[in-house]
Amino acid sequence: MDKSEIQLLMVLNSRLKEENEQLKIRVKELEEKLDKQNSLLISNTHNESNSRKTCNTFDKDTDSPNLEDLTLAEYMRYGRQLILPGFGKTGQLKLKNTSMLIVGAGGLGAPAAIYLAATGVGKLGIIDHDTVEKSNLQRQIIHNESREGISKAQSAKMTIEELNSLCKCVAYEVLLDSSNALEIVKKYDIVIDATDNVATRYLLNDVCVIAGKPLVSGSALRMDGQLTVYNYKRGPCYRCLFPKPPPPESILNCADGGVLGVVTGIIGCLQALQAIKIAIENDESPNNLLIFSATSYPLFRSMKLRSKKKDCGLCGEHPFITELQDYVQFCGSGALDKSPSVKLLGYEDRIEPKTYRNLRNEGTPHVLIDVRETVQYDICSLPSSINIPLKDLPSKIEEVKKSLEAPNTPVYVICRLGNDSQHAVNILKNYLKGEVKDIIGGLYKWSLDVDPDFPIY
Amino acid sequence: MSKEFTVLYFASARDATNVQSEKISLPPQSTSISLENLTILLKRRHEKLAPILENSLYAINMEYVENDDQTILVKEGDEVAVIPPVSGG
Repeated sequence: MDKSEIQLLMVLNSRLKEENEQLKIRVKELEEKLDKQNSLLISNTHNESNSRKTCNTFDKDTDSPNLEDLTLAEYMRYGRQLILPGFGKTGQLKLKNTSMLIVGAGGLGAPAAIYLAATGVGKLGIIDHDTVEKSNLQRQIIHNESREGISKAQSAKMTIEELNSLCKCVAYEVLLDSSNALEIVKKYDIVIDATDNVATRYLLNDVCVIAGKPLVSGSALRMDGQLTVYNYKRGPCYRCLFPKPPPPESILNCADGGVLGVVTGIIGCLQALQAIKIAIENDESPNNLLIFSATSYPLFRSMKLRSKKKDCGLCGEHPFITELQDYVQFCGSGALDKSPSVKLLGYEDRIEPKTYRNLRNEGTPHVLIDVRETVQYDICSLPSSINIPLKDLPSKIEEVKKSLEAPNTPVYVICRLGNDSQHAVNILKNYLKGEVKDIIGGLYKWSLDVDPDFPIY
Repeated sequence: MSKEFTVLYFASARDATNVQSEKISLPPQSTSISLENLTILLKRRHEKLAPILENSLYAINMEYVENDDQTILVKEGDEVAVIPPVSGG
């Protein structure tokens, strides 16, 4: 661990201590407030509450011995939904006695957790192995600036406890995998898939079928989203619809493809709504896949699904998948939505940002090609660079050749993180006579090593 | 006039084709097309759509159909949706 890391940890530590102190004070305040409200309620509604208790004995909804009744504080807090036909006290009691597991405290999990906690779900489990980063805050509204660097699961728990101290929240700071999934999922009634990767989607699907839990699955990317409940009311599981995972190179994640925060918000809220409907057993709709597209008309379309597939390997008539497997291997991609560093080129085909800067300052003739998508190039770019997106490069070799002063003019390639630029060098090497190198670590490293004023996004 | 059906593209299928929807003519003299032939036809129309179709769902008039079901036929006026999985969050 180097000095800067130690320093960072110390800052983080003191920030957390401070937050902890503040939270303790807040808890005390809230407890006092609650006591006051409770005693006020008891004195004001003494007679009423007596008669209600008598009523309860005959109340069909509360005759299940397992259901814990509402407290006075809960009547007051949830009044606006208690008076809703189709929800009522029955619904509130069911919510109170339901536990839900939210997998992922990101763009989908954030709004889902906030609404589920606010509405009075008895117990919420939140799993996330990641820590809060600045680039999360555009959509992961359960976190805030002061939480940067701390565990997302803990940060979500802090927000929930501030919002509704009646909701029991359990934070799991783990990466969900085959070794721990079943044990955690078994403890909950409803599972909410708010993850960001294919491997965890298959894992959650399998574990929910094995453990017999409904899986409220949401996903969002760019301007699109989807919502489905799997393993519910004899409907299909994720494998019924998608028996084989998509090839890893075809999968876009939010870090590379982008996502509009409100799109994850819409899907996350729909997941919360769906989980509530399951919990209160008020869901008449047939199994369906809801498709949201922010740029299309209509915004929502619903595709009616069939029942489970008879020959599904997991939930069909003759299942052959009977235990959890290695999902990273099955999908060929990991459970992380970060772009892994690619190492396609040897050192002789690469150049450090600092070395390239010297060469620029010395006025060495060369051509700089930026292979990012144009929408990214328009955010920021290095002067005198040429933008040719990687996907267009094979058809634009002649354009590259024309830009060279001499046939052996060196060509340097840059992108955002230094992955695509390596693919581009491999393509260009076949056609160019001069030196072709990629700039290590891309514009990200350029900003760190050479020009701190160059934006990182 | 030839008989037509409509294809709707969602998420990455829309990115690959650059259109939200399009009208496609049924093969000459035919009144329907099987899903297998539809896949071949769509791959021919849009090169970049080919890998996406491997993992996409078809819905006809917003009802899911299994893409290996040989009894299913797309007819004139039908609306076929191509729905790839979205996995981000």
